[in-house]
Amino acid sequence: MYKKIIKLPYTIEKRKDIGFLLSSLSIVVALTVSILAAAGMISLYGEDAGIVLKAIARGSFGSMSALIDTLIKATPILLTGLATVVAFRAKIWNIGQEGQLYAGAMGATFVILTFPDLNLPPVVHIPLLLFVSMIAGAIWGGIPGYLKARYNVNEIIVTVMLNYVIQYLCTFLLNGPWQEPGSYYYNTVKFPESSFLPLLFDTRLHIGFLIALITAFLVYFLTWKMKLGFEIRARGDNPIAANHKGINIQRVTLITMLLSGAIAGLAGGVEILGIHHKLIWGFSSGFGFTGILICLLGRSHPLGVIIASIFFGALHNGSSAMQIYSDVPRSFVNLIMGLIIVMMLFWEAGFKYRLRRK
Amino acid sequence: MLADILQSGLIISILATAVRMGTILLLAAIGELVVERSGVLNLSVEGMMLSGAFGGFMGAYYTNSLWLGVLSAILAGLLVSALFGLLAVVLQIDQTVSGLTVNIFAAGLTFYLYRALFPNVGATSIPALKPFSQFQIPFLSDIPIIGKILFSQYALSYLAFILMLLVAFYLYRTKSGLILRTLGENPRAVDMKGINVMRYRFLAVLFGGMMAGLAGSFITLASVGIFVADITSGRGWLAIAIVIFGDWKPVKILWASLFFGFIDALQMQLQALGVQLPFQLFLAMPYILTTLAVFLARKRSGAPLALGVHYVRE
Amino acid sequence: MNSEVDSPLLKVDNLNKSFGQFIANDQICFDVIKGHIHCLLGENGAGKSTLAKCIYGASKPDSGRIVFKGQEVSFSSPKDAIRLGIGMVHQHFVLSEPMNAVENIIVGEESTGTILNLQNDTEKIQNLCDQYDLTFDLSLPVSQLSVGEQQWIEILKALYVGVDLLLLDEPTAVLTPQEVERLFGVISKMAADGISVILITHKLDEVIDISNRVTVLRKAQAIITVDTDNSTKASLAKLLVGKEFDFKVNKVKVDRGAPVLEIKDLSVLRDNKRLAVNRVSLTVHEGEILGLAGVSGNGQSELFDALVGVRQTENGSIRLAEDEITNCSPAEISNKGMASVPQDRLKQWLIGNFSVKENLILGAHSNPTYCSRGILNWKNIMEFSKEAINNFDIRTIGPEQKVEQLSGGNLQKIILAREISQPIKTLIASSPTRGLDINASYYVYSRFLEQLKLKAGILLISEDLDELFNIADRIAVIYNGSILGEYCIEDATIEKIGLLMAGLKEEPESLVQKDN
Repeated sequence: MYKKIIKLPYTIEKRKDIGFLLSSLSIVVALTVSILAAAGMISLYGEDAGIVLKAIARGSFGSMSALIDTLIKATPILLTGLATVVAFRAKIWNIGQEGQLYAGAMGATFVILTFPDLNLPPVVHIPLLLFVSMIAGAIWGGIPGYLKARYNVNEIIVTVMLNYVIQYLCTFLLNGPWQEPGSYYYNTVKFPESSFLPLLFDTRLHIGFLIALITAFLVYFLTWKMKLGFEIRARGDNPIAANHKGINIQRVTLITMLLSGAIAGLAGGVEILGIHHKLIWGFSSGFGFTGILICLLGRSHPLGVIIASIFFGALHNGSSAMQIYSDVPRSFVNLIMGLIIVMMLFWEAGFKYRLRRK
Repeated sequence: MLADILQSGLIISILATAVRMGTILLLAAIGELVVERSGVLNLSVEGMMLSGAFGGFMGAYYTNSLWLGVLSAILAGLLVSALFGLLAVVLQIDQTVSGLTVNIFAAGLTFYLYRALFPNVGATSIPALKPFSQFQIPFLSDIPIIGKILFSQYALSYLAFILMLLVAFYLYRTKSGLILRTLGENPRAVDMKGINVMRYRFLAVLFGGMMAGLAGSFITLASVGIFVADITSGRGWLAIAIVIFGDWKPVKILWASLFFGFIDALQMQLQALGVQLPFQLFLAMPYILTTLAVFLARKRSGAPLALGVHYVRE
Repeated sequence: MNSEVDSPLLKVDNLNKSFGQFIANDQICFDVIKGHIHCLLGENGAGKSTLAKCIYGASKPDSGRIVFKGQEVSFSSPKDAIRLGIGMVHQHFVLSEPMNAVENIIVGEESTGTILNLQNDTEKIQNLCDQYDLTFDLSLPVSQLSVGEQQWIEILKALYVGVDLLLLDEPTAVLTPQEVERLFGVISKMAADGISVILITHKLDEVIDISNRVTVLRKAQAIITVDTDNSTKASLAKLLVGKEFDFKVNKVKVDRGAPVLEIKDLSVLRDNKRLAVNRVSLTVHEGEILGLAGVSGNGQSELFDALVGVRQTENGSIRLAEDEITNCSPAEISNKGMASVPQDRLKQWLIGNFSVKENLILGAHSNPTYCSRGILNWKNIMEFSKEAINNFDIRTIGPEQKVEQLSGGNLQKIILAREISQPIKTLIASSPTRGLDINASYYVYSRFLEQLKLKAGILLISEDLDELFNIADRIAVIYNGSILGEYCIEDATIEKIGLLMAGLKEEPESLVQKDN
């Protein structure tokens, strides 16, 4: 396989599987290398890596307020991460979380704007709105799901395209029929108070975070405790064997995309009902795409996704603090996350090979 | 009568823009064609184009030479594709996951570097440079109508056409091209002849990277002269769709690229056309049409049989 | 001329090759004379493929010598062998389907110009075709050619480069009789032109028809090399099949009941649209094991696929007890009471990344015991798994272990446990004890026999005659997609069955010498 430039007394052998130990080691190595790279890049930028890293840490966990902010930031990406987990477990490459998230937010907005005089108590209003966001997200995910299931159309392209389409739709609505009268900005009127997500323990943390945690548990339960989850995993790991043993691959494909879209839609609903209380352009700073990142980092497991999303939220938070103490730009965080994943893939694959004495 | 003249002027303008936008897509699509023909599905085209757009801009900005900018764009695309090749071809990590990861990484890297190098970018001051101007081919550009459409383009557009012809020639008329095509259909056939499958595919990936980088440079250097986040706006994905829609054949890809360029151009000239529909609909048009295109192309038979499948010698 | 007889083109000297414990080639010696068509005759498992791989460079022998054109050779890849003039035509073609014959032949060859000169190359190839009487359209994509024509392309690949020795691995497995005739015509011409041919086969007809000499392989050894002129089908058959075996399983005879699986006039196509199963009729009764003997590649896997619902049938019907199951889905057939123990285990019937317990219930995961209201009952599943691991002696760390880490034998046991844990009407097993040791094999047989008592009928497809003679009540033989014969176990002998497997229909005594 490799051109032998130097003749070594070893041959390169490929393992089948690397086991839990090496898998964890690869994550550790990936993180270490990334942090070193980060430190390096900061120094290259002319700053003191130590100060910057400490600032990040303080900004993310250093105080109660910082912690709250971290969790707030983690909430939407935890949900989109979970949405990605469901799809990726079936080896369906849903890249449309961003669009499905928008669909969810727009769905909830639609209900609020269309029925402005609904005087529902929050305990009814909120679940209703969140339910609608899930339906809207499910529909937006169901389109590529149906195309894939029935016609085997490439879901990657369709989901990516639909992201753009729905965002343009949103722009149109926010600049048109949904725009707050008299406003120059792209946003709706403020939502009624009964739609505000309640806050936890008198802090700024809204129950969205709790909803996300519950969703994580539900995704875990679905994937490993339910028949549908079993079939989803079977489709992902060996669709041929799954088909031979009676699993309806098309049905599983469609349901997976509906679910994935629904969870991403929920993320959209939670974000606008929890933070902004209106539909405002730019409410999502790439939460959908970050969700993919989170899923990969979290190894497609709900627990991993929880950790990864908090980690990412922390970094994001910390990077604001970092801005106070240094000139390193905020987008540093995205880069680091990307780097970590690349490293993770690289080391995990690298550990698959070992040297054997000839 | 005046209206007629105005109309035709507008149409010419639209068609000229169509060619311009189409050749951007053509460059990226041709690169991806070569990659996919070798059996590798590279989903990081968007990231490579973005890197090219960024690299091109930076190169031109610092060297004050647009062509050196183009060169650095090609280099940027090359480096990103090398990363993809390392993950997907050498280490044989799932090609989809590799592609998506490199996309995310490239996007993060470019934006970070841009912000790092231009910390004071605001709404008022944004680094800009003087982009390419159109190059009128002598004599030919004087031909009425067609001259304006086809022969008054940017140099990079002509380059795109030439490259397309070269790639077509390479694929169908050279020994190496034959090997490449066979690789995509049955890599074992190539392996049995003693040819290094991995090396060939890796080189194909690098070529795709260079083309995508070149395409990206076109966006920053030949149209606007600035760089912003997401300047590629999904064109990398359109390029992938164009390869599918063009049934993996160079000439069909050319037509598909020009068609998408036309839609793009239409959208830009809408106000002038006096159309009453919301402009966002036209902005969304390329994406809606792409979805339609892949749906219509679902029965396309030109897909390389070994596309996306790792080759392992039994 | 004499010197050519003295120094053969190819001499294989005490070649040994093992894979772990398994000895594939054991002190093989034979030689091939220039201009000869030399057959390697043996049934599967005899070591033919391994030997071929060593000769054409895909495999390195553990010890022994290969002497080609007077020089001792050691190949590190097929490319080395080709350079010296040894080529191989595989059983499974290595062709690029959308491209035509010319492109497939010239791709990557040194003689191909950097700028393709298709006209020139087409002419060259056309000349070769004319030389060997091969007429087919060189410009058509390979996918539109017949299987015979596709094979010619593989042969042309070797001729184009110029070989002195060409190996053909079971070339007639996928050909019609007419195509076989044409192929032999081509081979004869090649031999006349000085190109030596090694034909690997299990079919006695072919050996008698076309070879000059034949080396008989059996159980990893080269038994003998003889001149074909001095042999008869009978004599070869004796060498091929060997003598009786020793041990027997204690089989208590169960009364045969009503037919439980009726296959009538069944025809099934291969992937390349060729007929694999040709109007086969078989009946399995309750309480009996019907063995289906035959060298692999004669239609068994397609038959299996059709029976379990994974492959369409062209013709004919399959009845399971009262139900018509032709072309039903695998789930439906399974629900109606058919269990299946397949051959290619990991890829198509098990999920490697899933655990033992998950694989044990795959397909049955909707059953009320394991699943209620959409939620899996892992407690029950765990219980069943532990029981199965115990009962079927599955060597694993535990029910949680990923199945891809287990050995082939254990994979087989998992499938067995999965299939016969619930009441079944019929079981189709294909090479169920391949890769299992004696104890494990006996265990499998005992479970099969158990099922007989429960009124199931078993169709046992196997190449292992020992196995069939051990437990089958009747043995049928499949050859080239047709049933050549069927015997009750009392009437069957290894010789009779072996001959049918090699395509010989007549009684050995009634055969005459070849040149009559």
